[in-house]
Amino acid sequence: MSHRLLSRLLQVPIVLFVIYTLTFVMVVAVPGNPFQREGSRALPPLLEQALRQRYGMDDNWTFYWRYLGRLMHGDFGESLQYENWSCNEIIAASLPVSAAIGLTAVLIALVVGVGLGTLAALRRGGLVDFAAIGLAVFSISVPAFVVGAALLILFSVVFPIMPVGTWGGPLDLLRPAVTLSLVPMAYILRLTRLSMTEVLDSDFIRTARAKGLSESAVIWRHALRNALLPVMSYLGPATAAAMTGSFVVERVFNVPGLGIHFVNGVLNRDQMLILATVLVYSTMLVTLNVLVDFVNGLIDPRVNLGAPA
Amino acid sequence: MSDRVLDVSNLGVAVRTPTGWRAVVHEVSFGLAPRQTLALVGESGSGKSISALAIMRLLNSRSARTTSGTVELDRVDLLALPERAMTRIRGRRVAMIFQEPMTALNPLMTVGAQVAESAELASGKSRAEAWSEAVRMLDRVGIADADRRAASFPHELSGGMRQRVMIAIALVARPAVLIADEPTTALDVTIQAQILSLLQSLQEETGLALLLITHDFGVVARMADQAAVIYAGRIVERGATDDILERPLHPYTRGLLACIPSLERPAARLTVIPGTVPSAGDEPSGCAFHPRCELGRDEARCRDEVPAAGAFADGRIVRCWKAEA
Repeated sequence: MSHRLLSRLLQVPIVLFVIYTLTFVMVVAVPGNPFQREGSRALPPLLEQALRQRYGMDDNWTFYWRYLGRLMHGDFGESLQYENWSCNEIIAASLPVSAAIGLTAVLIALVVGVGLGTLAALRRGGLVDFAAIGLAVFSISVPAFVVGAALLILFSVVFPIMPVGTWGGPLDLLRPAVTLSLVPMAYILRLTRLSMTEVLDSDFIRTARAKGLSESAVIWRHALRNALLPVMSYLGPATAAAMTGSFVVERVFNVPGLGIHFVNGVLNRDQMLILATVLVYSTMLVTLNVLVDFVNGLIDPRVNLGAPA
Repeated sequence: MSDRVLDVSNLGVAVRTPTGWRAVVHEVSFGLAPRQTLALVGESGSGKSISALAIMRLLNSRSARTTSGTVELDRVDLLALPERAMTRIRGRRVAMIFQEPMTALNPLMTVGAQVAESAELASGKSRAEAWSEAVRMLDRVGIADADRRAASFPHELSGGMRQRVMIAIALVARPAVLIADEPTTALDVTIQAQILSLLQSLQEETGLALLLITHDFGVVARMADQAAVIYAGRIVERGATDDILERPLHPYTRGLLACIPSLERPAARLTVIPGTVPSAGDEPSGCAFHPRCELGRDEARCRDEVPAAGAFADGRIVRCWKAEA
């Protein structure tokens, strides 16, 4: 196990380096000049030259290595758009917000998805199953801005129990988190239902029943753990995506999260901010995948079978 | 017989097909006394496994259900019990082991924990006591170094070892009846022999009644006091194993025994019964075997009437219009 985990951990910096390189190529290949505001007068070449030197972006090659060097020291560089803001400050301000919403969303998705998925598998073809599948289809099909707006209208206009557009209290977390949880919830529900159905028909469940275990013990002790293995693997990428924020949800609920900077960074050709957000997201994704691998190894003894990869 | 521990009478099972429920087990009756072994012999699809699951009440209610009959264990009809009462009997009074030792164990639990779970359920022992009892039982079923092996996961054991674990799970609860559904079919011949001797010695030790489901007359000859041959969901011949092997009365039994290749006549072509087993719920009229039967193929009675169970002087029950003592 430790050997396997170690080799997975060693892959992390390599993967991140490749992501950095690919993103960098795309960032500099995109037409447009970060120092040139659209529609405004052209910048005098000398001034642009000075700015580029100031940010260590004399040419792409220098930029690539200088920025990599800064990243090694945990420095994500400066935003070219927001004056006097470093990318570190932007991330430090917005990532905790997105992470809080994202973690809450994943938690909701996990509890509701696994719960309803299991119930649906137990009552296959029944009313609960039908309703659960319906909810999953609805959650995947209806866009977040519709659900978000509906939640705003419902709880702030029809039943005015929550304010609109505030951020700070724990209650403000709830609606964005619910909105963000819908898609992962739907996936988890369908994954759980599918694998639970399969597990419940398997031979070892019949063995557990033949032992004289009650149906609830069969499900809790034997079926659920086996059925959750595929859900675990989905959880890594889903958590990384949810925790790094969503542009739509943040706009609808006026939340100061990280998702907005992904989009604005690109729109403003804020090159260092683009690289910073992409790397934050990639780091979380890769780390969470290693974590999921590790936890899967704890749950499933067969994971150790393969030679250390 | 009054000393029977298990008494199945007139059991009927139906399965769901795309066109509705079809009966696949009809009027199955047999009894089993302590220390006795009854072999239920038949081809794949003859209804033997589904009968066993019906006795355990482990049929998947979505796809199969019992339609008639009683299954009396210690004179209590299991089919009439509420599910909660049945849960207390399952495993404790009547246990079952399955054909597929590869998939019949939970891959995420150590084998020791799976045996201990059964011990804990049966006796209400503490977890630690159940564990040491599980280790003792694993040792008893012939797992060397049981102390250490108990901490293994199923994928770390061979097929024969896993089947031993299954037996340990079943017997640690000290049941009165063990249903073994093709317990050795998936195993190598040498391992087969070991598992069968193990079952025999455990049976002598504990007075277990064994219902052995198999398609292998070699296993029947070795293990069973009584045998019941099942064809298309109906027991066509039942009696003492020796009588049936020496002088089969039903044409199907005769045909099955003739199919077994023998070392004494190696040059002969293998015998086959013409035709195939009818698929579930699609049995021919009258005697289900009559289209394949050399005696009854052209008989009007065999075609039109289901044979009644006829009793013979040696205690045998045969369902055949043409059978003669």
